[in-house]
Amino acid sequence: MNDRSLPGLAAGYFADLGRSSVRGWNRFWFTPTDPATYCLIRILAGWMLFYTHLVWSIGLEDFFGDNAWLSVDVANSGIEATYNRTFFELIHSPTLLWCVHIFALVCMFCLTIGLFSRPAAFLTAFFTVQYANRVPGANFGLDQINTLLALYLCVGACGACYSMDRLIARWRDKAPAEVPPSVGANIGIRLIQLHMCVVYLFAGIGKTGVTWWNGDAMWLSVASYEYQSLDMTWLAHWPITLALMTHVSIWWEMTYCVLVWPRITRPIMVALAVPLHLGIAVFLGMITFGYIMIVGNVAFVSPWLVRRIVDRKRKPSVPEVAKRERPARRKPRQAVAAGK
Amino acid sequence: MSQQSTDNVTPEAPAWLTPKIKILISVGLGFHLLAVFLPPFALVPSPMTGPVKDATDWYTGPLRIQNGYRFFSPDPPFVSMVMRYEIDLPNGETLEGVFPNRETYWPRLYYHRHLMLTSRLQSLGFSSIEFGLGNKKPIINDGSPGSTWVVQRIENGEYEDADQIPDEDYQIDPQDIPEYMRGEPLDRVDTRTYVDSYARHLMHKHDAQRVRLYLLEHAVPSRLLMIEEDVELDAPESYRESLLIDLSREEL
Repeated sequence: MNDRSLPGLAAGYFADLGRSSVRGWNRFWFTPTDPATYCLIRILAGWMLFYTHLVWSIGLEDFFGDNAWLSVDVANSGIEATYNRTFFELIHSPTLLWCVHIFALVCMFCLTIGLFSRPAAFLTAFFTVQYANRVPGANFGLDQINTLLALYLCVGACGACYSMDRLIARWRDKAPAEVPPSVGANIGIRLIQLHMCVVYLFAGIGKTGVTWWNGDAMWLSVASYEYQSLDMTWLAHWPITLALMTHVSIWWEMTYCVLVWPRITRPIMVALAVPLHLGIAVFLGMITFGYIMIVGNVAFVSPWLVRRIVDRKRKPSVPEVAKRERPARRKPRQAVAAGK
Repeated sequence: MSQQSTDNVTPEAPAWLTPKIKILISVGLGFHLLAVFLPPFALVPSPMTGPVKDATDWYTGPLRIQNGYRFFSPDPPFVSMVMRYEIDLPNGETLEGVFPNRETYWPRLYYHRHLMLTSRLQSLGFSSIEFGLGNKKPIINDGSPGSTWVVQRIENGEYEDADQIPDEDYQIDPQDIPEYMRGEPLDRVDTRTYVDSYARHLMHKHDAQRVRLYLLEHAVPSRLLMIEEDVELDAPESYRESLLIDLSREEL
């Protein structure tokens, strides 16, 4: 860049910014990755999707039948979104309702164990949305995270590993010994990561009430009789502890979308998710919600760490992998300019 | 714990991922990210965000990603809502109970589903809390401006307990209360449709002659009250009951 005038510098800056952004975008979205993390999320989220819908079985007709808690009119009333229709409003026979329900459970179970993974993923996402649309008044955070995970498991080959599909393919000798890196798995993981950032960002900045800033919010949470599952009211004598928990929660949520990306702060942010969501699970009785939020955070765990834990496999040495996969190093600019 | 850069290798992109395909996927991803971001961002719509959010409803609605993610916001609830029912059965008996009941609704997720049904009234903005305390001294911080104010005065050291505060200091001018903090009337349309639906469900389920539903607003005690009086969380005085609906079979 020889033009040293101010417009020339600005033009050079923006050209460089554009090129870097495109390079960064491509690297972020289109770098093939080991699908280990993605497939682990399939198992963890698949199990919760299966369990969530299995629990509907207890009150299936109470929630999805003709005379349900929420009539179809209420479920579709103006206070709900216009496009949230569901096929359940067409089902009037209890027998048919149970048949559909059992089929949905089979799909979710197949997704969990990785049998016919791709169709199971699409069907699970479809059913998850349909169930949620029928009972908007009974939904909560669990259903929101369930839905987003089910949707993003449709993006890539979620049954590429840790699945019955892979076992069967290996048994038929039709699968390579090592699972190839996948662009689809990378896009799926990236979407989960970004969506989790949006969730935490708005969960954090939405907490504008006084109690989140005077330290009382955690007290209100643990002292709510309807929510609590363990008596934590002894914390009333520990105001500083309560305030600290409150402040850490809100600052963690608000900064998550920034600090979870740098390699140096990521382990701290993801590690903090565990006690925070375990607290919700154990003390507020929302085990399912706490669990699924932790599953969402798994998207930030590197595939090699997943391999190391699940497969008990050591991280491959760089030179060994590089021999097979590393592209040729770019020459330094000076060398290029000198024609070396 | 970085995603894929840890191994310092960059596996080659597959052959099908041509520049044109990348552009196509990128446009789709950009739109999707916008659609994910807009619903919580435009929860209180501005002239700019509102129309854009509305324009993406066709996409976010069917995928059910149009969420606000405002968990326990702006504050955790000061008051929980459950319901008490009285159901007149055909044999002349009256079935009474509370839902959800922590002891009988199992597993916890099933309990929580019912808790969401009753809490729905809260998220619709419904509250029967009467703002302005008059001569009634609050024993609990039920979230109403008056009781919050009393607890703050005690915590600030102005008074040792609520009994020391003169009656006239309890007076609060309703005009001082922001409109968004005032209670909603019982006959609000949104609330009414939900309550009506719950009553009709119970009517059908029990083949009942009459169903009466009462709202039980259950206040969370303040930390100070817990320290001073060691109150029980389910103490009877922490509940406030109001009739929501009285539905007879003829009205079905």
